[in-house]
Amino acid sequence: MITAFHETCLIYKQAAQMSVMPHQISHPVFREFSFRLQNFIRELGDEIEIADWRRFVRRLKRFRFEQLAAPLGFSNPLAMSSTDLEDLAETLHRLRVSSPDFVSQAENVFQILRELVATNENPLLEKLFEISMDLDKLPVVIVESRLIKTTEKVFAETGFSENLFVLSESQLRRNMCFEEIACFGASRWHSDFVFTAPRAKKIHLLRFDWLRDKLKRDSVFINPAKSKNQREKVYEDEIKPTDNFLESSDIIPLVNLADIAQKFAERTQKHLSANDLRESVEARLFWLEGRRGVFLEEDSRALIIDLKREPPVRKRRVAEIAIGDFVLLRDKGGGDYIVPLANKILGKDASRLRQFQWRWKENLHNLVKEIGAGQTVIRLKNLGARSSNKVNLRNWIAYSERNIDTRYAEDYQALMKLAGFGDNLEECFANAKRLRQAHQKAGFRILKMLIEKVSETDLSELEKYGEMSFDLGKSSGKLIARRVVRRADKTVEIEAKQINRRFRLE
Amino acid sequence: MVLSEKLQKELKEQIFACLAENEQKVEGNLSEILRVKQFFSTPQPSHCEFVSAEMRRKSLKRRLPENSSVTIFDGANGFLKLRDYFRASHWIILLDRTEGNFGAAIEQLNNNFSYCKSTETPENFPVFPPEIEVMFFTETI
Repeated sequence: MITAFHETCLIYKQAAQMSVMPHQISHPVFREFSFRLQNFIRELGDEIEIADWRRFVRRLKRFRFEQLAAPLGFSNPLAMSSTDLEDLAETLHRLRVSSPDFVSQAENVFQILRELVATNENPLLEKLFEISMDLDKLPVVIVESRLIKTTEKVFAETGFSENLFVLSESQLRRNMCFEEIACFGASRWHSDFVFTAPRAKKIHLLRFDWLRDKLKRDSVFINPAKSKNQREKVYEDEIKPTDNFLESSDIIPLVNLADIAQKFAERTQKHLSANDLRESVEARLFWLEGRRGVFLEEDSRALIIDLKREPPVRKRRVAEIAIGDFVLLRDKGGGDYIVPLANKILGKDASRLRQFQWRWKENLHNLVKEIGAGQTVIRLKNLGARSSNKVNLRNWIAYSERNIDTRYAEDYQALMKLAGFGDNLEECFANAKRLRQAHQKAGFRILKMLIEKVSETDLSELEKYGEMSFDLGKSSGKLIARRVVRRADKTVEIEAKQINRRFRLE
Repeated sequence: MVLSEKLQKELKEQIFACLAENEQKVEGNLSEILRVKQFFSTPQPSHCEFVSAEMRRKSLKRRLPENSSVTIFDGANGFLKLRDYFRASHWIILLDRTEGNFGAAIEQLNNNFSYCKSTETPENFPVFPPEIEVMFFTETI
C-alpha cells in the first residue's frame, strides 16, 4: 500500500537527485521586438503617465511576457488578436496628435510586433516537442494560471495533448512525483518551492536566450545546521546569459505589496484631512490570482476555500488567510456580499434601519470632530459605557454596515444616549437586533449555499486555474473564488469603501 | 477527511521496524509511541495530545494541555497561531516549503533566532536526510 509516508519519502529522494536542464531558444524577430520595446519604454520616461501610452505599452509588455511564460505561439489570437492590433493602431493614431514625439519609435516597435504575429511560429512548443519525444508524458508547469487554458488549447489544436499536459504551480504542492517536468521563462517568476521542493528529478527550463536568469539556492535559515549529506551544488548547469540581455524583472515588474498598500494609506490620509466623515479601517492587502489586489479588513473573518481541509469552505480570520487559500468575493465590482443579502432579508425596512445606523454614527462622528475623541470617550464612560476607549470608539462609529452594535449592552446604550437617541432606547436596541439577525441570516444562508455548491463542484478545476465563480442564485448573486498569490506583511489604514474591492495590480 | 482522521490514519497504518539486540525485527507504528489522547476510544495512558490549529480561540483555550514539555508544530499555521500558548515547552517545528505560510513562519523563526542563547546541535542527533534544512537553537525566554 502506498501511504502518505511513502510518497513523502519519494519526494525527498527525488529532491536530492534533482537537476535543472536549461534550454536557450533563439528567435531574432522576438529578440528585436523585446529589446526595441525595452528601449522605447526607457525613452518614453514620464510620458508613460499619459493614459494612451500606458495602455499601449502595457498591451505590448503583456504580449512579450505571455510569449515567454507559455508556449502560446506568436500568431495565437488569444495572445494578440486582430482586434487588439487594430486597437493599438488606433491608439497610436490618437497619440500622433496628443504626444507626437515618441510616435515614430512606437511605430517601429509596432511594425515588428505585426511581423511577429504574422510568422505563425511557436519556438517554445517546438522545443517542448523535441524534449517530450522520448517521454510518455511530460507535465508542463505554467507560472500564471490564466495562461493555462490557452496553453491547453494550443496542445489540443497541435495534436500534442497526447503526451503533454498542463499543471498549475499550486497542483505541485500535492504529494506527486514525476520523472521530468517543463517550466518556461525565468526561474524567479516561479514560486520557490517549484525548484526547492521539486516534484521531478529533472526540470527543463525553456527560455529565450536574451532573458537573464539566475538559479540560486540559499538556506532559508539564518544559521542552518550543516549536514554531511547536503549537496554543495544543486543545479546541473548555471544559466549563462548572452552578452545582450534583459533582466527578468524588466519583463514583469515585481509587485511590491507594501508600496501599493502605502499608496492607498497615503491617499486615505489626504482624504481624511479634507473630509473627516470618511472613515478608515485597518486592512491587509492580498495579491489574488489574475494579478488582482484586494484589501480585507484585518479585524474580521472572510469566507475562504482551503483545499487541504474538509469541508473546504471556511470562515477564517483575515490575519490568518494564507497563500494558496481562495478568497471569496462578489463577482461584479467586488464589495460586501453579506450586506446586500441582509438588506433583501430586511425588505422594506432596510432603508429605515440603515438610515438609523448611519444617523447615530454620523451624530457621534460630528461630536468627535467638535470635542475630540478623548472627551467623547470620557462622556461615554460617564454615561455608563463599559469599554469606552479611543480604539473601540473608532470601530463603533466607523461607517461600515457590518458594524452594527457593541459587545456589551452598556456601551451601546451610552452610544445611543450620546448620539441623541436617549429617549428611544428600546427602539434603538430593537433596530440593532433586527440588523444583526438579518446579517446572521444572510451569512448563514450564503455559507450554506456555498457549501452545497462547492460539494457538487470539481475543485480540481479551481486548483488548476486559480479562480472559479459560484452562482448562488438570484438573491445572493455570484461569488468568485481567487487564489491568494501573496499577502502584505503589514496592515495599513485605508478608506472603508476600499475594502473587498478588487483592483488590477501594476 | 478531517485533519485529525488523516493524522490518525498515518500514525496507525504506516509500519516501521527496527532491529532488536537479538537481531530480531521489531515492528510497530508511530501510534504506539505517541499514544495520542484524542485517538483512543476508551481512556488509556497517553503521552501526547493533539490540538488543531483550525480551532477557534475560545475552544482552543479549553483544549490546551496543561503541562507540555515538548510541542511539535506540524506546519506553519500551527506554529504561527499557537506558539504563544506553548512558550514554556521545548519546540520541534516542522515546516514544508509548499505551505502558504512557509515564508511567514521562517521569518518568525529567524526572528526568534536573533534572541537565541546557544546554537549547539543536540548530542546524538541523527544525520538528517539531504534536502532537509535544519536549525537548532536555545532561546532565552
